This record gives sequence, C-alpha cells and structure tokens, in this order.
Amino acid sequence: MRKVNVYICGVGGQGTMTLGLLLKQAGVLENMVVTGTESRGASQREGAVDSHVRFAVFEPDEEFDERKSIHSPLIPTRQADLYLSMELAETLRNIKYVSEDGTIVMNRYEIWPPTVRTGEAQYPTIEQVLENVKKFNKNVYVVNANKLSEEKYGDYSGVNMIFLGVAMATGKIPVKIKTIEKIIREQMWKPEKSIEQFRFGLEEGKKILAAGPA
Amino acid sequence: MEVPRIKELISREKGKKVVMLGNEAMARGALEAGIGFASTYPGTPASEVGDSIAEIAQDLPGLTFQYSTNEYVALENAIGASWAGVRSLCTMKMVGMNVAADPLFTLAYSGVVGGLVVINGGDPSASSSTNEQDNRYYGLHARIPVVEPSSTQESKDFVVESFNISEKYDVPVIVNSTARACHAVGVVELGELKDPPKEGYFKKNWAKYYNAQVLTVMNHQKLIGNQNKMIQEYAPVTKLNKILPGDSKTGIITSGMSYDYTLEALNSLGIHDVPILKLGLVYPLSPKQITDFASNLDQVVIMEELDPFLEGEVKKIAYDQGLEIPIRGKELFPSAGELNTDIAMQAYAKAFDKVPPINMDELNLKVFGAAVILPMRTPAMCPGCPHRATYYAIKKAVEGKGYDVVWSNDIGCYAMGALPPFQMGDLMTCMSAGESIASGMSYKTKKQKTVAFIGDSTFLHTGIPGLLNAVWNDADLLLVIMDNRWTAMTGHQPTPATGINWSGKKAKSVNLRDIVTSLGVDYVRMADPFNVKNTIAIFEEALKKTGVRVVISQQECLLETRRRNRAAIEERKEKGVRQYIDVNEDACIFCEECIKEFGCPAMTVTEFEGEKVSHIDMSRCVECMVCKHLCKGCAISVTKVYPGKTILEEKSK
Repeated sequence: MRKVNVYICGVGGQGTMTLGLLLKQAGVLENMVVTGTESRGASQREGAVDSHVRFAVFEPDEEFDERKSIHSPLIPTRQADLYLSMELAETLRNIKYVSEDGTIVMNRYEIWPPTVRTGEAQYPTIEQVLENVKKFNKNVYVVNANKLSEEKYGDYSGVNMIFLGVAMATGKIPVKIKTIEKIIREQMWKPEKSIEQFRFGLEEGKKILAAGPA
Repeated sequence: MEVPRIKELISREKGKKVVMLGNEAMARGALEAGIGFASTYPGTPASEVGDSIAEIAQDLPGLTFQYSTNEYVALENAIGASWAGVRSLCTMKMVGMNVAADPLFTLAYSGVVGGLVVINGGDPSASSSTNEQDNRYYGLHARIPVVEPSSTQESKDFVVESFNISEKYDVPVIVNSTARACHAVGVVELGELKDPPKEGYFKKNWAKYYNAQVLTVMNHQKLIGNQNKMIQEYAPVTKLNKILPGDSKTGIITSGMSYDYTLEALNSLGIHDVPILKLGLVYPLSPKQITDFASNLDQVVIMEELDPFLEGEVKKIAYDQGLEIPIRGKELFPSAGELNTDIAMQAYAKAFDKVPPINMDELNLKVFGAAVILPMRTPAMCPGCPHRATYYAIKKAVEGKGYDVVWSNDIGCYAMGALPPFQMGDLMTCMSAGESIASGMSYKTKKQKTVAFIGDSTFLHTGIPGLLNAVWNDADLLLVIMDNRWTAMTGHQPTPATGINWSGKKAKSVNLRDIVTSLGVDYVRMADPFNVKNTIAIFEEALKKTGVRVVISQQECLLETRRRNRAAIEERKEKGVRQYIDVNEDACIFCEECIKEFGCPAMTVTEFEGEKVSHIDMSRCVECMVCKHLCKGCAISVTKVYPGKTILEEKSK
C-alpha cells in the first residue's frame, strides 16, 4: 500500500474545499481508500482555510492492514507529498506539512488581509516567500492561475480548474486525468467549460514543470 | 457541487461506495434506521446533518423535518415523535445540549418508544464555539449511552446501531462526534435505505410519561435497571467496540479520532504489537471487557480528546476490580485543544521509550522563523455584509460624543465586529447572553452606555425572554438586532422570520418589530444599514435616550441574495452586461475611510500618478454600494456596460 497526501491551502472563498472534494471523489472512483477534511463553519471568508486529501493506493489483491493504513483525516507533519497553495503568502502558514521530497505548487496571487490593507502589517514579496518556503523544500513551482484565467476568460472564473490542471501536471496526484475529467463532468456547474479550463491548466502546468523549480 | 452528493443520501444502491462528509454519513445512518422525524437547531460543526436531511426530506414520504427555534424545542419535538412510536433524530452542536438539557434528563426517565438519537457535534480547539465542553459527561450525568465514531463509515453505521440500542434499552442515545469527525470526508459503503413509517400513534401510559413524585422515582429506578442490563449483556459484546490484539505488555484504550491518531502514530514509531481496545460505546463501559483487556498488561495508556472521561471511568473499574497497574492518560496528553497524530506520536514515544521521527520543538521553531513575515489573517465579514455597515454606522454615531460604551456581543457572523476595524465586542458568552449580561451590567454602570448586538436567529432562539426581562426590570440597554434574515454563519438556514420553511416553501413569518413591541419596548426603530446617513442618525438618537431601546438593522445577507440571483447574474454576464464600481483616482483624497474605518475586503490600495489611492477589487466587490455613500471625496462612480455602449451612471454625493 502506498500513501499519498495532498494538502491544499488558501483563503476562504477561493475554492480549496471544492478542489479537495474533486480529488477525493476521483480517488474513490479508482478504488482507493480516501480520507481528508475541510475547513468549515465559523464564517471562513477571508480567513486561512485548508483541505487535506489522503489516498491509500493498494496493489491488486493486497490485504488491508488496519495498523498500516491511513485513518486520520489530518495529514501528519512533514507528510504532504503535494503541497498546493492558492494564495502567495498562505504558502508559508502550514509549510510544516510538506514532506522533504514533496512538491509545492504556489499560486502567485495576493489577497491582502485587513492588517495589510490598513497598513499595520506588510505583505511579503514573492522573493521573501520563496526564500522561506525553500527552507523546507526546494521543489517549488509558481503559477499565476488568476492572471492566466483573466487573460483567457476575462475574469477569475477559471482559476480553480487551471490550478487543478497545474497540480495534476506534477504527476504527484495518484489518479488518472480522465478520472478527474469524469468527476468534473459529474460535479461542476458548467462541466464543458470547466474541462476546457482544466486542460488549459494541464498544458500550462507541463510548461511550468519543464522549466524547473522556481 | 453539493447537489449530486446529497442525492447519494437517498440512494437505494446497497453496497455502493460514495464520498461523504461525516455529517452526511450520520444523516444517511438515520435514514437507514428508518427515521420518521428529524429536528435541529443549526450549529457548527453539526449543521450539515440537518441540512442534508432538509435537502432530501421531500423525497421520502413520511419523513418530517424541521429547523426548530432552538435546541430544547428541537429535542421536545423529537420526544413527541418518538413517543408516537416513530424513530426520531435530533441534532445540535455541543453547547446546544446545555439548552436541551432540561428535557433530556427527564426523557431518560420516561424513555422512548421509537428510537431517539441525539447527535452532538463537539468542538475541541473551539474553532466555532465559545468553549470546548466535553459532552460525554451528559451520558454520565443523565445515564444515557454515548457512542463515538472514528471514521465516516462508522459515522453512518454507529447511528443505525444507536437507534437499535435506544429501543432495546428504552433510553435516548447520544452520538458524540467531534468537529474533525463531522467534517472528515471519507468513503462510505451504503446500507439499505429504510422507508419512514407512514404514521405514528401515542399509546397512553401515564406511569411512563407523567413524571411526578413516586412515578419519577420509579422511572429513575427503571432507568438504572436498564443501564445495568445494558452493562451486563450489551456493553461486553457490542460491535461498536473492537480489539486489535497484540503481545506488548502495554495496552491502549482509545476512541473517536484518537483511535485514528493512535494507529498512525504507532505505525510511524514502528510499534505494531500493542493491544488496542477501541471503544465506540464510550458510556457505559463494561467492567468485564476492561478487566479482560487489562488482565495481562503491565500498563494501560488512554488517549482521548478533552477531559479525562474514559480515564476516570476506567480507573473506577480498576479500583472495583482490583487492577493494580498504572493507568496513564492526561499525564501524557493535553486536556485543552484538539489532538492530532503529531501530539500522539510525541506522547506514545514517551510512553514506549522511543525517539520520535520528528523533533517537533525544533521544527516548530523553524516554522516560526519562516512564518515571521506572514501577515496575520483573521476571518472577516464578507464584502457587502450588512453587519459591517451597521457597525460602521454605530461607530460613526458614537464618534466624538465622549461616550464610554460597553459593547456586548453574541453568537453569529456579527461576532466579528470584535475584530478591527470596529473592535465592538467586549464580551461574548453563549446564545443570547449578550443582551442579559448587558442588562444586568446596566444597573451598576451608570457612567457607561450598554449596547448589545444580537442576530435575528439568535434573538428568536432564546433572546425573547431576556428582552422581556430587561423591559420588566427597567434595564438601561440599547439592543441592536442585526437582522440579515438568515441563520447565516451556519450555512444560511431559514429563521421563523425568513418567510420560508426548511424546504424553501413559503411559511408563516414573524415580524421582529411586532415581537419587540409586544414585549413592551416603547422605543423601536427600523434601520437599513445600506442607507448609511439614516442609520447613523437613528443610532445617534437611540444613544441619547435611556431605558430599553431596540434598533432593528435589517438588510438581507448579500451572499443569499446573490445565490438566489445567481442565474440572472450569470446571464447578464454572458450577454456582456457588466457593472463596475470605480474609484475616480482624481477625486480620491485617500482619506482611507473606506479602508481603515469601513474595512471592506474588496477595498485595496493602488498608485495613481505617484499618489496612493483607493481601488476596488471587482473580483470581490458585490455591489452593496455602501462605500459610495461614505466616500468623503465623492470619488466612487458606477459604470454600466452594455454591448455597444457604456453608461456612467452616477457618482457618489
């Protein structure tokens, strides 16, 4: 049995919960044991939110060993194989989850918290964020899904699916691309548009991966 | 996103594996148990249990659902349905149990007819609550069985079994699920869906239902007898508990999420031979099962969240049975806050004399060092939130008057008024406590003004008696009812004032003003917080007066308005019709009123010709237009774009 942990963070309202759910459902379609959790309640808008996705991938005919499987919906410290951040500074908040040989995908999009807007706090530069993230893991890839979406669709409606595409391009998510597309088709409000955005993200992701870590 | 998943709730495909939220799994369990009635007052982390039943109740003839006005009303309704012979579910967050406690204790004496299960969402780490209370003690206190799931599959299965126990031992059952289990998303294999009964019938039995004097004592005796029977015949063999055997001389007793953390922590530490007693029935325990498990052990370690509940129960049994081995619990694990695999790993490393694979102290220091540049991020009221506009208005009404104001706050989205830029929350206790604490204070704080905030749903939950009391006992209180028409924070459930019921159908609605007036409040004012100037004037006047005054600040939660109009908004967009709210950079004097005083999250700062100016992030703006009304430089304009033409509609005045 192989365990794969995907951690997704961002700011309330960005869609971390939706991304987490899509991945979990895709895992179930491929007969994996899946668990995880989402930030809910207490008006999470504008707050720091996350979604934990955990896959237990079995060999054919492998027997289930309760003592060795995944159980907790929370990813333990230093065990996230893929660390996805939908907001620039948020990448740092729970960086302890990323494993030493994991991959980080960071969305270069800033949502300023109230303290930054009022001038009490400073928003870090991308250089500062990268420098600190690299203390934990140097395998960092940067995408600007918001910019990509705005350029292609005129607004931010494609951000989630583009980001999901880039995440899939890392090859760290243990489900097939066509399974993700099947789930998108079943679950999303505008399935065809979402699939197109996802494929666009996948292509962009391949370019980013090919260029090497930031 | 939600809808297809909700449909799985009433799937008849037995054996199908679906992804479910813990709360949805518990709802499915109740449906597989064949409930005919369900009631709830919404509260995080348990809200989605009721919400998901509300989504499908219309599709299951015979199933009655209600959002009740509060938790004791919810439980009393469920009792009525149970006594009419129908299986009934009642769900609430853990503090709701304090409200429902009054009927609960006597319900235990009378018992049930149709099984009655109360689901409690607990909140270790208090991420959405004002305390971390451990509701397993309600089981001990009221002699009610308590069941605790560890996975989404168990969340479903244990609810089904709880209905069976309830009927077999004539007692309500508490399913205690913590926030982590409620919000866990996992795979659930569906069982058979059972159709709700067509109807019920109340079979009279005075001795069972009429708790007075000797009958009460007899019912108490019956309850004790049933509990003893359960301890003897059910608790030792229940499938809710399980043992993972092992040869180690140290054994672990655990339950709920702690079982999950235990397995993963032991695996990481390379410990595979520890016997584990995993309790699904956490109250009452079987002395026989505990003794059999511990008889060959040198030491027992108990991992549980919050209070040493199991530790206390196991130690009682150990004393009675003469077990003289160390029983270690809260000596190793903290009582406050939520546990996790990391905490489990550190504690078990200590108990088993191992070196943990991660030095957490070192790592935490490294994380702290790296995150120093990270700005603090608190949740905030959404862009377009009417509460922000209300807080802004009262803040302006107080400004420069020299008032010393005590801001008494309450439970709901508006509790965020305590955060910058308003900082109008000096105290917050429990549902509707704010108004009565402020009233009590007002007799003794003549030099201070007491202002209490309460939401529409919180007011209708338990706020009416407090306001009536304030009037009757002549308090000096300004009560601001923050009426956004919904129980917004828990997921937009309707209130008795919304005008619809659980299914979205039109229902009778109460008028808040009429209620307040009927309680004897002479000074009642209605305010529209989006009308900034009027609302400021209303608060200015209300603050000058004495006695009990009520301002009802009414404006619908914009999230709900927009959700309702989503199709129309999308259609407008498709047609190329757009509306932009802009800051006219020449006119902006960068007084920062919209940023620092009003604090709208859609307001950002940009540069124009080398000068700082306000800027509206249209990806977040929901067009409430409040900024237009408060702009000192009249710099905010609305532009409407139609295919082929652009119209600059108006500027702020």
